Amino acid sequence: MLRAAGVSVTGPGHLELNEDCQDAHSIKGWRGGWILAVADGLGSRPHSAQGAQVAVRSVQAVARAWEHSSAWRTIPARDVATDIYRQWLKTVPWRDKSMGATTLLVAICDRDGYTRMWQLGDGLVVSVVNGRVQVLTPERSGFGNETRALGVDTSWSAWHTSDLVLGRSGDALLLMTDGIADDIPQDLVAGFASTVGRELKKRSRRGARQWLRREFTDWATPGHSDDKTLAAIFVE
Amino acid sequence: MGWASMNEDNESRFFNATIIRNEVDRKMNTSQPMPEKQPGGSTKLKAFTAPQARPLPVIILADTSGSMAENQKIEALNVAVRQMVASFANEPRLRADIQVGVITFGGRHAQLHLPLVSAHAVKDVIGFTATGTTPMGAAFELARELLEDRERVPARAYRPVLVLVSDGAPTDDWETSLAALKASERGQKASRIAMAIGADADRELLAQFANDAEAPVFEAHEAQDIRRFFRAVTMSVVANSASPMPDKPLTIDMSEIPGDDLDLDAI
Repeated sequence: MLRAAGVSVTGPGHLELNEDCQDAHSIKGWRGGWILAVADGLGSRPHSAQGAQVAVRSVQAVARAWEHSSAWRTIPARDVATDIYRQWLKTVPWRDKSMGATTLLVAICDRDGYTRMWQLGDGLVVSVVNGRVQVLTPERSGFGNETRALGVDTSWSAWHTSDLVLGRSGDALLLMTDGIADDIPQDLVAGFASTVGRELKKRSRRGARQWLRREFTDWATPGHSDDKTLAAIFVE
Repeated sequence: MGWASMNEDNESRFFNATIIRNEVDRKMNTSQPMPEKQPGGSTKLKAFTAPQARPLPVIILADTSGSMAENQKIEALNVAVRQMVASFANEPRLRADIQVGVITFGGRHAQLHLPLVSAHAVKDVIGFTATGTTPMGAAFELARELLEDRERVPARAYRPVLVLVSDGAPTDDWETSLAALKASERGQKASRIAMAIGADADRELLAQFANDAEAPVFEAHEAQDIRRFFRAVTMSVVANSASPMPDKPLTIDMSEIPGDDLDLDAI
């Protein structure tokens, strides 16, 4: 059985400044599978929190408009990215769209576990398939908080995509913002992903959300300040 | 079972149940001494998170050519850099771990005078010696290599700060090296600040290096201006490192550093 859970936690930096969480996520059931979206509004932009909210809603709107067939698997990834971007541009109210610039991570899976992923900008996407952990995000070259985003980058080459199948118990796909990803050393990503997958499996959706919230609120890296969002699909 | 026996049995059951219930209530409602909470102390994911705050690299490109020996410029630079490192070392690393590296260019080569390390780990900065020509292009090259080295400047690092101080014109091929530094993915994102020392400094070049449109090339007319500049850089870096958002671009405000002007307001 395919399940999903996720949470967004406001970072201490924003709490200190009495600012809203600039991350957003959306998890909704879809034809026996799930549509997951995670967005991280660029802190330097005045409306990034709303931009992130609109981004995750745009993903849901685009995917729900697809016809009821397995044809969604073959829609070119570029077309999907274009549709999501257009939907976002259409919905954000500002003339200067960069005021709501945001990253976007998307995962859509059907009842058979066939899963497609899109990523624009920072954050980390990790899969666990047949016990093998794979980082689907290419290595980043810039610094913390330097990123490509909706509203500032219109090139298709800025997107990363991947297709996979989540079929066996223990398989999982994790989407997380850089508030989490930047504090996980590369050699510990596999352990992190496996542990999260295992712990989520043990809990109800509500319990999983509570566990994630507790972990990210009480994050161990000294001086962490960023918002933290993680959304996951996993096979029970 | 007789009536009296049944009553006794019921009473006994009720009494025992009450005792048990009271015992449970007492256990639940008695406050237990809680262990002091440590950040991440009891989380399952603690084992997978970085144990250090994100680094905030500060890289100084210091002109140590022969002309810096005049008018106590090199002495002032030595004092200023030492004070800066000492100030960084006193910071509590709550939000960011300030790291310092120094590249000197004087004589035939540029060299990594102080490798990029946490300011807390720096025992002393060996004094600069002013000598020879001004291989500034080689310093740009070294700075670019350092920034691109992901072992020394990891992706989780906050936006680095590059500080260039010079009193003359480069004597090597600097244009290619500066262009490469500015075009590099990480070099272009760093905060780049420049100070011209004295009248012979190449202000046009320094302006090309700096990337803050609101901050002009800072000027040092005398040795104490070098110390003031480094104090301003120190204050700005420290303020950023302790702020909720340590990644914002560095802004330098020299007006916050008192000069030695006479206080004539009282007249």
